[in-house]
Amino acid sequence: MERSEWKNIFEKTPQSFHTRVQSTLAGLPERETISMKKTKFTLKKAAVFAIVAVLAVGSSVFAASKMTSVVSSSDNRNDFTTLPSASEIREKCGFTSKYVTAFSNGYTFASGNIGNVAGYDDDKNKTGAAKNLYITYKNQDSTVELSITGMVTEDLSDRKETPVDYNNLQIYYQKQDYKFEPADYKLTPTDQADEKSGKYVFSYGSEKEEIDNFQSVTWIENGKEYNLQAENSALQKQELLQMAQEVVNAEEK
Amino acid sequence: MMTKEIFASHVLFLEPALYRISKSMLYEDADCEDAVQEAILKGYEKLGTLKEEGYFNTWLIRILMNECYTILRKKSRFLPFDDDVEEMEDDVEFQGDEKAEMYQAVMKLPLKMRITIVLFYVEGYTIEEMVSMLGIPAGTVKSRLARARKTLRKELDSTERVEVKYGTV
Repeated sequence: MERSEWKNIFEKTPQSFHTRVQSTLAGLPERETISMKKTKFTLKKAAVFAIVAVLAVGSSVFAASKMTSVVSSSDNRNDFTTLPSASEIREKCGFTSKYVTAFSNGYTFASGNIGNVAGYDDDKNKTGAAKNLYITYKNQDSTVELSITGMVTEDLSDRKETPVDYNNLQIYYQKQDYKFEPADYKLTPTDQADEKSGKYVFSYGSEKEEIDNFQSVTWIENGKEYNLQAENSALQKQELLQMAQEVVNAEEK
Repeated sequence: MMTKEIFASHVLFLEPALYRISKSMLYEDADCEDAVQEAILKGYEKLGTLKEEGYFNTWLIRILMNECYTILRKKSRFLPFDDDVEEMEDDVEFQGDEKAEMYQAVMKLPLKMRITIVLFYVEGYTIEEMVSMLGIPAGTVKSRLARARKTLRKELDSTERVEVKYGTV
């Protein structure tokens, strides 16, 4: 038997194993957090987007780039609490984008961050890298987060949801319950059944078990991936779609 | 210090090997997932112990194997790591005809021989690398390989000669 044939005696890596690797990586804190603060692992908000993106990509293959894994990272030093100028954002991100300072339903700019996203194919070759702009909007105690990635990481047409057409774009709405567990949590048989049925998507890195509901609307425009996400929010689907339309209608700058 | 992105890219590259090695030790996919999760977390936390990036693979695999041993100990399937080789319990559930004859033969090997075969033939590590990963002398690695090949030969059809690039089974 040739050396190359030995690897084939094992079955291919199961999707569940791949998902566990992906979600564990997505929940890792940034290196700066570890070296400077030496705290326990905590799940940053930015990691949530990464988890959602990772788990979405993990279940489909984006044919054009064969991207099957996405790794996201952010640097606290790129946090901002006042919206930078359009030229500054453009320079830091390397792309123009659409965003608003406030939505008509009362959500206004609160903070933001510019991070990095890298995509890998099945052979773990890097297929792309781009900046990612996160903007958090608040309305009293409720937050909504807009993520703009400078490349497309997911073939949205693979999604089972029917998109809403707006301005020649397809906007996909998604709703999912996530169970965040401590880093060393082991799935119980009930958890495994829930994961398999799609009741929960599991991820790791929180200090204690948390169940969060995420709603998101996602669309692709001019080679960039937009995602508007609400966590444990009273916002209805139509309201989120309306907010997405306001972003689509904004000036690209 | 290695960034999160570089660490993640190394892990993703190694993912198939992490599955094969954990599978060869634990059999059940759920246990493999637990082991790899723990290995990634511990590896990331202990990145400072990695002297050179070039040793990442062998370093992380060693962490993974330790996690597998932890799970095995909890499941009371762990065999003492000495030279008295014992047969593993014959309770491995195979997938029937779908599994290659070689896979079945490998998975029937006692744990120590199984790991040695998988690291050497499946993953392609050298004797020197395996010394580092297993924490045993080169002579012991070689003798386990020899015993494993002999055991595989008995399991496989003796009328069929299977030649391996780095030895003959």
